[in-house]
Amino acid sequence: MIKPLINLSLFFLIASCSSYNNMRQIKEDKYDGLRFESFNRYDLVRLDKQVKLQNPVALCQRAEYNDANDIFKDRLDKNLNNYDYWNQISTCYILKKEYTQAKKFLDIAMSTAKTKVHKSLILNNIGVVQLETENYQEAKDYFKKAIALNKAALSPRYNLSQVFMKFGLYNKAQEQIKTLLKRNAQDIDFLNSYAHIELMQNRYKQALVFFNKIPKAYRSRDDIATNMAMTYFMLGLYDNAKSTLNNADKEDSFYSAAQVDILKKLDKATGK
Amino acid sequence: MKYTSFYLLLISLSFSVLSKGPEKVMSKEEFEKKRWTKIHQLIEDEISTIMKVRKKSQKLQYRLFELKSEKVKLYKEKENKEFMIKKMKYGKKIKRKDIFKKTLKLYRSANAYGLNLLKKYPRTRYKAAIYYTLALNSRDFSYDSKELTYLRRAIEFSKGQRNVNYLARTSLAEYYYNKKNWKAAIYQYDIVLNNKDDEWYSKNLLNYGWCKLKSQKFEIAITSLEQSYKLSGDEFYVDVRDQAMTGLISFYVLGKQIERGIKFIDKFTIESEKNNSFLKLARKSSAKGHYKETETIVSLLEDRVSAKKETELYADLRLFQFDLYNQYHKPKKLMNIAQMFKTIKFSDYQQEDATTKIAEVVGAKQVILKKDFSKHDQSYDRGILTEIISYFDILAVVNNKEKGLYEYYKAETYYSVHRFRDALKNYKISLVDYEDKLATEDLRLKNIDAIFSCIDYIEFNKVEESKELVFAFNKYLSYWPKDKKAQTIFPRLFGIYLTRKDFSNMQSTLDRYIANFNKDLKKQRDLYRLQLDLLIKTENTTLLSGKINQMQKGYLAFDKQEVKKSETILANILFNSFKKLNTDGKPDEALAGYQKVHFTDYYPKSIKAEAAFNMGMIYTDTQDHNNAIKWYEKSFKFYSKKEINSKRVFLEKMSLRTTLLHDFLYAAKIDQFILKSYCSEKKKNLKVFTSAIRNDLANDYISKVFYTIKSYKKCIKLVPQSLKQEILYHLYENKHESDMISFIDQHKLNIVFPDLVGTYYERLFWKYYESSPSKSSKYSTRLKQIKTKNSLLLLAALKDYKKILKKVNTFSKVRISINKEKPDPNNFSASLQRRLGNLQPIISFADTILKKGHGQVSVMTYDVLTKITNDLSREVASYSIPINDKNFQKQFKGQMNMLTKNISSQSDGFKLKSQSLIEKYELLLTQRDESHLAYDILRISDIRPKASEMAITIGMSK
Repeated sequence: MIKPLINLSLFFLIASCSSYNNMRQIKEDKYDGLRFESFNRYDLVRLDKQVKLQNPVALCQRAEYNDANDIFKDRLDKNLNNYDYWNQISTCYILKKEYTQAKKFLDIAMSTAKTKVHKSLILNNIGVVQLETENYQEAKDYFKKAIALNKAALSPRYNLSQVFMKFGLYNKAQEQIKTLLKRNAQDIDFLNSYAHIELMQNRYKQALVFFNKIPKAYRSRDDIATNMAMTYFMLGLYDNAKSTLNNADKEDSFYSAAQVDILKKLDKATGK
Repeated sequence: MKYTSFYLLLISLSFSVLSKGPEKVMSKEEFEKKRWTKIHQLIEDEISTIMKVRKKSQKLQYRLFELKSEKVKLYKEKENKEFMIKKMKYGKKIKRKDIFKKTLKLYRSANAYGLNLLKKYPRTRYKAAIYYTLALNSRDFSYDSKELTYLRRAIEFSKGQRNVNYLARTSLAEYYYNKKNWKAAIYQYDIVLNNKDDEWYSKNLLNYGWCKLKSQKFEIAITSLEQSYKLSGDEFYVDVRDQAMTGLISFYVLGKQIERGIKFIDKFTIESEKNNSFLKLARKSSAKGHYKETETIVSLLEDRVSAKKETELYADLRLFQFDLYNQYHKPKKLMNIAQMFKTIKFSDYQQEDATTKIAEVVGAKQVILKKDFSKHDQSYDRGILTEIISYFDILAVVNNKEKGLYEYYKAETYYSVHRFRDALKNYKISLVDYEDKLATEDLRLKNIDAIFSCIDYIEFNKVEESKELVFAFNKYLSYWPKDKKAQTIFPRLFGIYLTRKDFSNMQSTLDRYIANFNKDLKKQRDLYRLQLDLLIKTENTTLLSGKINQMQKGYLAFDKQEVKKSETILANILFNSFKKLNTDGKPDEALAGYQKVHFTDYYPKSIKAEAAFNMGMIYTDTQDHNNAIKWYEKSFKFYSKKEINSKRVFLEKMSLRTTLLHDFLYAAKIDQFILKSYCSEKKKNLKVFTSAIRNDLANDYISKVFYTIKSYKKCIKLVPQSLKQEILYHLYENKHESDMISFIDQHKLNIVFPDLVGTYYERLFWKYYESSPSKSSKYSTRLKQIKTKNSLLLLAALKDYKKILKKVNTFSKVRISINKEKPDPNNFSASLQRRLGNLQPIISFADTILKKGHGQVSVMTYDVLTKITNDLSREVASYSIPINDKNFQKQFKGQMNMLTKNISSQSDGFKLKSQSLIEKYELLLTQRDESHLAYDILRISDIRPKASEMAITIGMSK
């Protein structure tokens, strides 16, 4: 009886694999420093455990929005004043990229949040909505407010660091990443972000040190590979740069374009 | 008298002779009048004719006397009619002498004439005839008691005149007979009866027989009458059979020769008369105490008389038998005969007779029964009771139009012996019979009172008792609905129906109560309430609805509050089942139930409204919002204004719920519905207005937001600035640029929120700074107009920035030229110095821009400085003086390198300052190039992370 069930579970897992496309997914808990705050970087296996627990956000993470919605509706009456319930709904809308709806539920969540920790959580997600809609100044402000209310929260720090990194405020970004690395020195994105900051401040060797801390399995990720290749290029290690680019996943069109740019430079530099 | 028949015949013949074919048929009166006139005329004519004769013979004179006598008779006939009429009218007040004036006059005239004739002709041969005529005249017209004298004289003087003698003796015999002088009569009849040629012989025998009977000579009497009877059968003789038979019957019984009588009747009586005669004989026999003989006759008659052919005689027979058995105390036979009465066709008088006979019998039995019951400690002869009841049953059939009365009597009989159940049954039947017009006397009150009495006495169970009371009460009320007792009966009857849950009768009873006692409003309302309570308890919503409709129309003048309360209860009952269906996950069935109620005419408006509203709520829950709104709107058509107001809270909750169920579109629609329905409540509407806006913003439906503001701002006092700000945030943050501009302009938000609007204008300015100069210029114009501190700063800084760009442009175009032919290091050095000197003003000017303190412009200025110094550094590095001097070249290169390095480090310095600036003020700037720390990397490829793609949402709480 158990074997067929396992087989069935595997079947569903495999079936859903094909539709689950998360370029940031991390398979190992130890590499996910934000695993207690977010499912954003869960792979299917890790998500599956949550799905079994009827976690609607996990379902949304798997793009199973209708199922998640059913759970939300069932739980509505018992959770009218539960900030977490509203936050979960808004998280799902964010994952669905329906930001105005997400904002609506975040406003409701905020009205029901009682503690600073709760409010911090919601502020972070409001910041994410602002970020997604390219309102960076507003996003930055929300992330900062979230951190101010709950210094232990990691996600707002991470998000803030990304904003800083985008606009070149590398010291500011580095402050946040250092804090994050203290909490988890193995997190893929923490390491990648730190390495990127070093790279962008022209501290290539230092950047490479942190890139090399990233487990090999993840170095082919497009953003990581692109950054690494650039580092190698700036260090003049053209072969390394090339091989890094060759191993890249090439799933992200933004980074694929960047990889092409680097390759052109490599070719020029190597006379090819 | 003798000639009367002759004249009649004459007249009738003359009429037939004189008739000329078919004539108009005369009435009897007309005929009699005509006949009299005719006879009178004939008499007068004959008298006149005789009078014309001068010397009248004795014969003629006698004839004249006869005619005068006939004339008297004629007038007596006429005046007798008049006498009879007036006698009928005036009774004893009418005297004969007053009426028979003419008769008496004519009699006296005729009498005098006759006597005169006798006097005149003392030996006339008509003497006996004249005396005979005088005797008849005296007998018939005057009553002067001279008849005897005249008859005797007629006989005396009629020797040799057999005919006159015979006639005189016959009359004398009749005279004596009438005077009951039997002996004298017999004497005359003995002589008279010798003449058998007289047609009256049979009559004479009859009278003779009676005389003999009176003389106790039964045998001769019987024989005479028998003979008279037999001779009457002969055409020659006068038919006196009836009288003879009547006499014979008496004679047979008195003479104790009943057997003989039976035989005679059997042998000689004509068939059609036989049975009657037997019956008469039986009656007489019974009357004289001859039971056996009577029974014999009765048995004979029973065999002879056909019930179908001789119905009257048959009935008479049975009636006689009844009397017979009653007289001789034969109860069984009596009962048997009485039972036969049921099937006998009685004539009216026979029926009356039968009724009387039975009534007498039964009455007597009732007395016995009652006496027994009283006397013997309530015991009685059940046989008598049975008989009484049977007799009444018979009476009920015989005298059907009084059936009701007999049923009453039966009931009374039962009651008298305390058989109350039977009594009750019959009282009820009596009542019904009375209603069917089967009783003359009004038995209603008697019966009703008796019924109530019986109910009291009988130990009924509840069901039986109520059934009987219902009957009695209803009857009472149908008869005397306005009676004082009825006033107490109505509620009692209602109470019984209430126990039975008989709503139809409850209502009809109440209606009758109201119709007859319209002042008992309080009591009637109480009864109505009892009915309502029961309907509520049994959840009979159909009837309850009808009752409430009644109340709404003013039935019993219930106050509005009470009506409303009832409506609420009805709604609760109706809707409880539907609510349960919905709770059990069957919303479709619940909807069907509500819909049916809504479309059912007899439910009150408030119920229909509530049903529609509840449908709306179900549709809201099932997220069929089109239908939800539709049904809310429908409900409002039926609600009162007060009720509509009370629904506001629900609707607002529904709107909220719809929002919470993620359906912002329909939440907004509900909000708009609320605004539309309650537009006048401006203060309350603000919250809903805001909710409507926010719901549309949640869907990012900007046109709907504007529509709501336009259409419903009249339903609030003022659109709050905070809401406008909220809309403004949304418009900017969700990139609705043109809508935002329209909104700002429409609501003059540049005045309300100048700093915020200025910030947005600036961001948009920078967004289009390089990509769309025209748009950027548009925002620049707006910034100029808005005149905030920041906008003015920006414009001022930009103005200087443009200047520095010009300066840099000028500076960049210049380059030191070196004469290749005649390189002059000093000249080069001076040019270089000049060139370096020209940079300083630019840097100084840059400082003024930096000092202005606009972040983006400052960084752009740093970009300019970085670029200009970088370019200068490269420029310096590229210079060479073609002097073939190794030392010179070594020194030159060294100095140029140092200069380049200095300039580069200055450039780096500008980068660092730029970086420091943005880090310090956390400037998120879009315009940053050369001063970017990673400018070299960015020139290869922009590998800056897409922050949004890296963003982490916190979906888990701790």
